Amino acid sequence: MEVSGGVSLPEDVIFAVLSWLPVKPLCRFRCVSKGWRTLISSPAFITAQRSHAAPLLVGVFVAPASSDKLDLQVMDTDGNVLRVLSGVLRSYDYGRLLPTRLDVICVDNLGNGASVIDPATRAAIAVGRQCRRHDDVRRARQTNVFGRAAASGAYKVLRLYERLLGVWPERVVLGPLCDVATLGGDTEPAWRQRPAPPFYTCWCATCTATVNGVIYFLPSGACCKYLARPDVASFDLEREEWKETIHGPELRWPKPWERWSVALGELKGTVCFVQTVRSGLHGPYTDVNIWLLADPERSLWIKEYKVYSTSSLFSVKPLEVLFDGRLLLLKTIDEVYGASYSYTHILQLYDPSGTYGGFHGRKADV
Amino acid sequence: MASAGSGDEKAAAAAMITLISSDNEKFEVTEATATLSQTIRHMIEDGCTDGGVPLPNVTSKILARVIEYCKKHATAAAGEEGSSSSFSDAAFLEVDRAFLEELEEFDDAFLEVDRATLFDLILAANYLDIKGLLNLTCQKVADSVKGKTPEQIREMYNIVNDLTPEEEAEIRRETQWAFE
Repeated sequence: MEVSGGVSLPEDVIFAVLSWLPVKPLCRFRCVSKGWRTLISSPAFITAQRSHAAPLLVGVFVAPASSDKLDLQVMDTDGNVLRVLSGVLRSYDYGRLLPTRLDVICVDNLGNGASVIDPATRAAIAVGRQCRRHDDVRRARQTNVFGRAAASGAYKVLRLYERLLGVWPERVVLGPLCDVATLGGDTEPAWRQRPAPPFYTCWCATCTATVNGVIYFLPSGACCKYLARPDVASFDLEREEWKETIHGPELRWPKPWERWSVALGELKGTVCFVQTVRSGLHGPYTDVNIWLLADPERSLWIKEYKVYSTSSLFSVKPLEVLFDGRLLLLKTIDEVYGASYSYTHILQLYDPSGTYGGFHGRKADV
Repeated sequence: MASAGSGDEKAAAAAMITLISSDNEKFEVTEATATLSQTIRHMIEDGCTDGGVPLPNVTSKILARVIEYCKKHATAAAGEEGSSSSFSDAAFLEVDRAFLEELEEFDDAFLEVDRATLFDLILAANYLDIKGLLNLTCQKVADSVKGKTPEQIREMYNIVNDLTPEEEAEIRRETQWAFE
């Protein structure tokens, strides 16, 4: 790096400066010179850059000029769209994007299995599809969750499902049943049956989180009915076993006019529990409490963040703590039009030591 | 400097280190201030700071700025160590927030320098191994080049484009979206 004054910066300083840049200018600067191209493509540089940069996000967007086609968009936290994958998801009924922190995109197609997509190559692997009909046993409901086993690093998928036996009115529901499979290769993986979860878990994406090879679940309906201290079930993907149930944090008891929701997520390398309390009649306001799990054996949660908003939000989910300590939040606003609901999603940076950061784009799902 | 009063009283009790710039100017600083530099910390640990620490790569002008930064951030580091990392204590959080804001303002003002000085600060921070200062200055430079085109970068830093036109076209084609 020659400067007009004749000063030249050593390569490790250029490395240090460039490692603070987001992905977009870096892609552009690969054509500055051969030296820059080699530097920016080196694994050491990529690791350094990732430790500074805000993460890339994948969201589901309704494709322009079409109301039923959905696009997946890879974007940075400034709202720049880096890549669009269209035709991957057919519709909301068919599949949903799983909130994961892996370098692959995971889509839960519910009863139709699941798929894993590499955002760089668009290569997709489908799993669990032909298991839909199994002899004369029909699968009633199914949910698929992805994760990476902590020690071996293997990508695994866990499925929880019910089976229907017989014909109505003598129909019996078996379940929930639990299977695990290791992903790899193009062939259908071998499913291994594992013990049933300790209680009936909620199958929605907000009540599930995968952190360091452990999948966490909230009890069935936790997201829509009030539980003062909901239990958290956890499944270890390495040992393929359910771990001891964790008691959730002591939640704030809502006032009669307030509505609430809970969610699980990942922050600072541990599982976090999010309680969103919003005004019903009085307000508008939203009060969000975020606890981090400090010790799973003693069910010890530490209340780490409190986010207050002067508008009424359907939910607030923390996605990431950035290098500078700011929280990346996904806010969901619901609007009622007669009998139908419409949801708007907003990404926002929240500075716990000060005021709100900027507004960063709208999304359909994350 | 601004931190007279209590800062100096404490300093008198603490061990002092002498730093010598490339143009032979001597700077007396406390050990707490000096050890923000990993390079100097290692020298102190090895017991080779008697008679001063010569810094042949750093001029007195730049060293004065670096010491200004270290003094401010050394008090911040001392404050952090003294308190547990309890987030629940609201009163503590308030004090902490005010202090962090002050530190942020200091950093912003500190970076209001011309480009040559900024590069000298980066080189000094790199040589002295002061993580915080290196991150701060590198981010400042990164911010200033973020929106530039490759041509502008080459012009700003006198870089010769040694890629063939084919190679350059290939890169542009691969990541078309980055140039839009």
